[in-house]
Amino acid sequence: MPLSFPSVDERADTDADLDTRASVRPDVPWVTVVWDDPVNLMSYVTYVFQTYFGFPRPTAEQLMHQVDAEGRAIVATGNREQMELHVEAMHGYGLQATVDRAAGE
Amino acid sequence: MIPFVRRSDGIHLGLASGERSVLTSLVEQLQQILDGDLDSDPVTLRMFPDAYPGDRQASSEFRRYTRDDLRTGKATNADTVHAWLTGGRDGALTAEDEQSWLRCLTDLRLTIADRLGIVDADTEAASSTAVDGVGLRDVYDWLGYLQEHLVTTMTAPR
Repeated sequence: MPLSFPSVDERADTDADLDTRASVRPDVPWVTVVWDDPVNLMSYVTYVFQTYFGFPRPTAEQLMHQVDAEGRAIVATGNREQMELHVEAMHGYGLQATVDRAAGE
Repeated sequence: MIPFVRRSDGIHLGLASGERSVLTSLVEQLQQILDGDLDSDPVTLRMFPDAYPGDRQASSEFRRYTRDDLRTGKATNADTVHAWLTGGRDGALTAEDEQSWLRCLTDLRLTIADRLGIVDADTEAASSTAVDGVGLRDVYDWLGYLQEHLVTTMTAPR
C-alpha cells in the first residue's frame, strides 16, 4: 500500500458509516479519534478530513476546530476493523489518531 | 521564491536552489530514520503513534500489522520528494506527487518537532524563543510555510 489512498469502494463504504460526535449511535461500538497536536497545520487537517473522509468543507472545518479547542474529535464511528483502517490512514497523513470504544464517550 | 506555482498543466516547484539543498538534506535525514532501527528512535512514536492509548498490547498488535505498510508509504513519499528536489523529476506534480509532498513535509515537521521537544502549545512557544534551537526552529516554521502554501495552491479555486 504505497500511498494509502482510500479506494473508491472504501470511500463509499466509509461514507455510509460516517458519523459525527453529535449523532454517535449506541449500537456502533468503535470510534476514530483525532487528537490535537502542535505540529499539524489547521489547513492541512481540514484538507485531510475533506479528502479522506469526504466531509464537506464546513464539516471538516468544524471538526478541525473541535480538535483544536477540545483536544480531540471523533471523526468516524463503525466497526473496529473500519476504525483501524481509518487510524492507519490518519497515521499515513501524519495525524495523531486512535481507536476507542464509543461506549467510553 | 514562491515554493509551488500553479500553471495550466498542474503545480510546479518554484523553490530556489538553496532551498532545494536544505530540503534535500532534510529528506535524506528522514530517509535514514525510516531505513534505520525505528524502535530506538523517539520520533517513531510521532510517525507511528499508539492506536490504543493505555492498551499496550492492542497498540503493539496494531503497530505490528500496520507499521511496515506505513513505513513503506513514508519512505516512498520521501523518495518521490527527493527525486523532485534533485532533478530526477520535473514538470507538473501528479496527484500522487502532491500527496507525497504533503505527507513528507508532515513527516519532516514531526521529526523536527521531536528534536525541538515540541509536544504541545507551551513547548512550541518555548522553542521559538530558545537560543539553542533557533536555526532548527526556523527550518520547522519554513516547512510549515511550505506545507500551508501547497495546501492552499492545491485547494484554491481555478
